Amino acid sequence: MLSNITIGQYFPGTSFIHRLDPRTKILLTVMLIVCIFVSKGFMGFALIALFMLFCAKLSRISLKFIIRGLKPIAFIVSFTFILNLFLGAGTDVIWEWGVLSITKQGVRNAVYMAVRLVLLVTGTQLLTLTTSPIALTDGLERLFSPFKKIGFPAHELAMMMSIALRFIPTLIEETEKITKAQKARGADFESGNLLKRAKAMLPLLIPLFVGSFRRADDLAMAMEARCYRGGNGRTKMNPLTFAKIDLIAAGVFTALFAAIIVLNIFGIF
Amino acid sequence: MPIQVEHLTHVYAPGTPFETKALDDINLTIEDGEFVGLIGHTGSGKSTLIQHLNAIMKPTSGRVLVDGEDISQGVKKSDIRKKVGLVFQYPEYQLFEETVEKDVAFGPKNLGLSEDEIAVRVKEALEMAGLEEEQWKKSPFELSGGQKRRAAIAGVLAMKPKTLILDEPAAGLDPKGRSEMRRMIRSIRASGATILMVSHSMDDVARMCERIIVMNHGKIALDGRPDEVFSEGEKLHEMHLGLPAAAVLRDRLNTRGFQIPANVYTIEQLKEEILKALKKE
Ligand SMILES: Nc1ncnc2c1ncn2[C@@H]1O[C@H](COP(=O)(O)OP(=O)(O)OP(=O)(O)O)[C@@H](O)[C@H]1O
Ligand SMILES: [Mg+2]
Repeated sequence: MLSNITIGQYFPGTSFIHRLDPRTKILLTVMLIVCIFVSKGFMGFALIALFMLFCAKLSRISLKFIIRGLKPIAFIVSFTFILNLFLGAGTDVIWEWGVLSITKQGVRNAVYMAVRLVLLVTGTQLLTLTTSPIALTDGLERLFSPFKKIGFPAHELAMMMSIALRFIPTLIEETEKITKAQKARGADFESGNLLKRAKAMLPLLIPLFVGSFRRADDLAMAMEARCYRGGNGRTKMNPLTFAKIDLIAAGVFTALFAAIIVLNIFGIF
Repeated sequence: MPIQVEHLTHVYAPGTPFETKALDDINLTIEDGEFVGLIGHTGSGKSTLIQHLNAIMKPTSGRVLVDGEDISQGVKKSDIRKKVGLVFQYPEYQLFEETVEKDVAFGPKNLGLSEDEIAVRVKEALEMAGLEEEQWKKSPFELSGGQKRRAAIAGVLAMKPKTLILDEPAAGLDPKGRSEMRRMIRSIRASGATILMVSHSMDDVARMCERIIVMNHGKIALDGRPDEVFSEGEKLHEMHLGLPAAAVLRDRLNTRGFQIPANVYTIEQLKEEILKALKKE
């Protein structure tokens, strides 16, 4: 079912992580991503994984939920793993069959890439699961607002993003509803070859498109009726403010970053 | 053959913080030829229940029998959909074909019927839905709201289900649209189909149905003839439900000294009772 997709889904709560300023969370997630790519060996990855586990515990989001969010990327991870496994450079050949060969470096590369991908998605998931889409775009808008001076449309982009995010659940719901309605009329979305299945999607896609246009129209009208005219001079109901917990979080993340660098410098893999 | 619901329970999103028990141990039989109204407060589980009756949704536990067969076990889905037609809320959003006719033909086509048979059924369904012939060749997106709704219902009628389930067929229609919808449902009824209608309008249910089922928090709270259900004003009020206008007037008159029996709930009956009371004076 579509409702099983957890990527990008917000999980309401009041934990330490939930209460952090969205800007802090965005910046620290970027830092975490840098950590993942800077890290050269298993010690680093283990440290990051442990740290994420700690964050997940702190946010009181069940691990089951986070792992479920990894399912959609299972294919990409396996694909990258296999590709790296066979395309790995290096000379220490472990296994050979015709043109295909696996080297020691290849294995290591493949495992690293897979681990990196999983950590990457888990890290960003921690961000989206603990931050409401509105807070997220609010944070992004504020982070990018200094670039407004050079003509960067920070507000417009943030508005577009929050509208898009806002409508993902609606679209999913609508898709489910229309699927059910067409199924009640005997539509069959599950059997037949690829062409037949693609054709069977039409009774679903056309109402979905028509509905999206209608909704976009309604929304534009509603925004205009409420005098929306872009971001200039617009104030916030809940202005973002940094607090002590943001400082604490930044401190902890800096420590992690430093630890990764130290591991790298001393060559502890 | 009836539709039997046995110990039906449905839980949405189990194992997440969004977990909701929408249906809780429902037991129910709908006999052939009945016209049943299903009412209940928003979120009481009406839509969830009816989606189980033609296997669009799977029970978390319990079972649904149609013609004595458990529909979640190995019965061909198209066979059930042929027997039990389901019209969702705001069905006009499912229209997709170039013309009204083609859209109505979608259901029968999926049943694998012959071209001739499909043409006959489309014509019958559109006539029953009260759409005039000049509209049959139009794009469904050019029709008015009420016409779209009826075209969508025709799409289900064309499958000739023995039982027709309607989820709030009159929601969002103007008074004229509502009365046209009532007329349409009556003519479907006259063709011999069993009907289950979800509605928020007590007046519509009172005027049309022979049996009323009231749902509350995923359970069946009341089930009986309209006069039985609408004499339970207090219970209904506790479930955030109202009474038909005539029953409201009945209760108000009774507080002013009238003694109209509690099982009066239609305008016609009420008129008789008031005249009787006035004559006595
Ligand atoms: N797809 C879903 N996922 C999770 N919960 C749902 C879903 N659909 C319905 N629910 C919940 O199940 C309960 C019953 O919903 P249902 O739609 O059956 O109510 P209803 O009686 O049809 O209400 P209404 O009169 O508003 O149409 C509600 O609490 C609702 O929030
Ligand atoms: Mg409903």
